[in-house]
Amino acid sequence: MKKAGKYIVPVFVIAAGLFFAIYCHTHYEFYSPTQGPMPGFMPEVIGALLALTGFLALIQAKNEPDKELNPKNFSIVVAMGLVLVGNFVIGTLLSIGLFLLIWLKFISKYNWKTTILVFLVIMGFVVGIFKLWMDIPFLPGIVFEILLDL
Amino acid sequence: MLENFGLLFGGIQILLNPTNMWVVILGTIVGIMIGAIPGIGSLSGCAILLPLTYNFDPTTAIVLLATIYYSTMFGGSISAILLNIPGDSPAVMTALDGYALNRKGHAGKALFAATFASFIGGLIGMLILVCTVMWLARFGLNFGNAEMTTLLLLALVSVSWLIGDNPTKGIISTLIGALLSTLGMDAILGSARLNFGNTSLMGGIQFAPLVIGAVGFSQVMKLITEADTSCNTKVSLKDAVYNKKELIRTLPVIVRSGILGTFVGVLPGAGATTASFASYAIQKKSFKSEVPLGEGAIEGISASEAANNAASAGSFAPLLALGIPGSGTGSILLGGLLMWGLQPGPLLFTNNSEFAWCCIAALFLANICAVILATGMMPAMTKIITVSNKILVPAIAVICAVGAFSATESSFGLITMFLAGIGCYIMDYYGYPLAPMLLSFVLMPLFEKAMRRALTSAAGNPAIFLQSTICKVCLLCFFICLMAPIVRAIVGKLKK
Repeated sequence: MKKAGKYIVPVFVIAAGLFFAIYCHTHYEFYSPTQGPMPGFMPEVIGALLALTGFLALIQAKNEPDKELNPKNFSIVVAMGLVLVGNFVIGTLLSIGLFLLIWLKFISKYNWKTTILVFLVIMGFVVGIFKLWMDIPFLPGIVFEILLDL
Repeated sequence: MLENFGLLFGGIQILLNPTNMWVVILGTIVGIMIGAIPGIGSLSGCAILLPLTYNFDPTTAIVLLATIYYSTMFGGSISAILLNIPGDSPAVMTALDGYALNRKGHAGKALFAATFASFIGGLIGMLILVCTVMWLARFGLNFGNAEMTTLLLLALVSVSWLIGDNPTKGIISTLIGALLSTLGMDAILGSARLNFGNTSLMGGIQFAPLVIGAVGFSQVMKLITEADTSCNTKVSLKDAVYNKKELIRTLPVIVRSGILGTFVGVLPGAGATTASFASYAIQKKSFKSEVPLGEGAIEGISASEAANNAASAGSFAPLLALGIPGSGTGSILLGGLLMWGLQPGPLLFTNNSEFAWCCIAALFLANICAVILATGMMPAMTKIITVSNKILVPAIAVICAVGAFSATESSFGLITMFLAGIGCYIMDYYGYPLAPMLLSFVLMPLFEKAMRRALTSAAGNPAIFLQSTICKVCLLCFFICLMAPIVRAIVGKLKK
């Protein structure tokens, strides 16, 4: 991971560029003599340029110092991933609320009083503005949909 | 011109009744709140509040909507500076310097810079609007598809000014933004393009969740291992207000950006976001600042905020004088005008002069209300610097998640935010700048649409881009901007 980290972006970019260039070439029209560029024109050109510059970046990366990603920074990614899954299962607001409680208590290591106070302030803002005022249709989740059907 | 000022004062007099004044104050408060909340922009705010205006008379209704539209520009900078989550797309560039200045412990100064620039920039836009509203509208009419293509080509060159030290990485960032903008639907033919059979992707990737993820969520990932810089220092208004030196530094930036923003706002489809990006890029490339842009320069905040407020004022010229909305929010305002039986166009200023000038007068009053409210709230807002990272991390993560969901009213926004956050964190970590990606994401669809429409109308003949004077001037400027660095490098080598 240490030595490969700096190659992540160039490799991804080369792969994505080639994929989009080839996909657009095979699925969409590129150019019309009477109408000019067609739907495939821009993504194909951009994809090809991306693959080319990705290749240049790959060569450049060899001379760059090694830089390691810190796994701690990805703890929030794991948490947000669980929120994303929970969004479909138990609903958006509930999964966000659970994330907040668990993070404040067990990751930030606050006592229950501070945890609940911060939880109430943040969720109060979220529910008050987004649900009550803006009436955003948050997902209820599969569990609640089943319960409601029963 | 003097006659226009007389008509403007007439419009102000109409506004000076209790109902209209309350509506201006209410619209300002609502606009600032809507602008500050990530994921909800002026478009959503105006769309949600439009039905509430059914019971108002047309003047009061348009005053409310215009005030909300304008005030969201003030609000967008608040979350950009305090949380690094732009409240709306025009505040993206404000976040670059605003948040950096906040992290240095000068949140109050950053907020004041944004508020002051918004006020003066907006005032410049409004004064230009009053003096030249019909001329501005006719100026905008000269920009057809070919002219917009060449102008946007010139604007895309400005991306190179945001690229930073490593051109290869900057170009990759630009191309990633451009590629992402092609997903969803072909704007000309209306057919699906690169949606891979996914109905959520049919509408393409929305800008709001993308920027919340790219700027906000990636910032949250960084905050976990960043040193906690929270402090218990009380920030007073006195600390935030400019001293004489700072005023002298920022006034030229604000005036320049205000004028640029007004003209960009007049152009069809360009909008406050384009104005803010262009102004920031020009400031970075062409003018010096005490602190480099991107590291907490008040010039960067001023350039972005002055331009976006001026653009929102400028966009009223084509809207009122020609009935051409410059943005999605402009479409809501146009819908409101038609709903109340008013026909935007040159005759609006003849047949319903009081209404048109009342609308413009509302912008002036909204500007004054917004600067008073935003300045008054500053000491309270800057309390956020006393909050520890251990609270900020989950709090900002929640706001990112909810804001991204709200932007699309579906889980697709949440997924976009999540993936954009991870991708942009890794890109930023390895030195790939994010500003070019966001700029090209905004400009590329406009460029493609204008280019393809121009070529379709000319039956595929590219000579259409050499027909008008505006096209020739823009293309000349484009080639100069493109060749200048190469020529400079060659001359430098020859001198050695």
